[in-house]
Amino acid sequence: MLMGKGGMAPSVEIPTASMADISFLLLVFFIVTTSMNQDKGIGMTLPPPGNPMPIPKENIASVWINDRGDIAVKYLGQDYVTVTLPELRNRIEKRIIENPNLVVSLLAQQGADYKTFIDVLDELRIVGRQHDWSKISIAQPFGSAGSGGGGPGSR
Amino acid sequence: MAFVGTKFKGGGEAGTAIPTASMADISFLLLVFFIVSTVFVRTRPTFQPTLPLAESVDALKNRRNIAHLWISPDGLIQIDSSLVALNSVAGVMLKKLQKNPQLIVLIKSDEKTRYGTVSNVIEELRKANAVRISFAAKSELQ
Repeated sequence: MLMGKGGMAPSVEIPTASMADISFLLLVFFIVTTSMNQDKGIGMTLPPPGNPMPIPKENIASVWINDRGDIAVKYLGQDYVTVTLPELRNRIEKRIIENPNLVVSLLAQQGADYKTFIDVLDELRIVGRQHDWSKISIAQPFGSAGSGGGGPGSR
Repeated sequence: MAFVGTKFKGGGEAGTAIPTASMADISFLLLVFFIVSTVFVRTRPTFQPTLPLAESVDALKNRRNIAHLWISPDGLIQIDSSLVALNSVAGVMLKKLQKNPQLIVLIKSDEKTRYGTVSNVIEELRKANAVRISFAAKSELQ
C-alpha cells in the first residue's frame, strides 16, 4: 500500500479482464435452462359458440367411431360401411376429388379411445394436405349436452 | 497507404497473441440471445400422459401463447398448474383469454382417455370462446 501510494499514480481503470468470465458463466446458465423442444400438435379452430352453420346434406360425409374403436363411413343415402384406416384414407380421398366442398363430420362415441380419434383425425388431415382441403368437423357424441359442433380445421 | 504499410513492416514486430478484447462482446451477444429465448414458466402435470402418435403434426411456435390442458386417463383435468373440475374449465379459460386473446389451448390427453371426456372439455372451451385448440401428439416421423 505504502509503496503504491508513493511510487506510482493509482490506476483509475475498472478491470475488465473478468467480464468475459462473468458473462460466460451467465451464458452457460441460460444455455442449460433453455429448453428447445417445441410442443407439437394437430391444430384446429373450433366454431364459436352458438348455432352451428348449416351445411348442405350432399356435402357431408360422416365418419363414425364406436366404443370398440371400429370406424365407419356414411354418405347421404347410403348405409354406413365399416372401414380400416387405409381404406378410410382412400375413400375420403376419392370423395374429396369428386367434391372439394366435402365436409367430413367426425363423430366418435363417448367410450371410444382418444388414440383412435387422433388416428382418424390424423388420417383425414394427411389426405387433406395432399388436396389442399381442411374441412373437418368434430361432432358431439350422442348423449352429451352440446349439439353438433366442430368446424373447419385450420392451421 | 503503401507508406504506412512499409513503415509497419519495418518498424514493429508482428503480434502473435489472439485478441481477446471482443470475447466479452461475443459472449454477451450469446447471453442476450439465451436470456430472450428462455421461458421460465414451466408447468408440469401431476400425471404424465402418453401422447398419441400422429403424422400431420405442426409445431406450435409461440410458447407464450400456449395454455396447456392435460387430461388423464381417469378424466382428471389440469390447466397449466392447477387441477380443475370439468364445469369450471370455461371460467378458467375465460380469464386466461382476457389476459391473452391469442391463446392456443394445447390439449395434452393420454391416448387411453375416453373420447367423451375430451369432447366435454372441447365443449367447455367453446363456451369460453377458446376456439383455437391443438391436440398434442408425438410426431410419427422421428
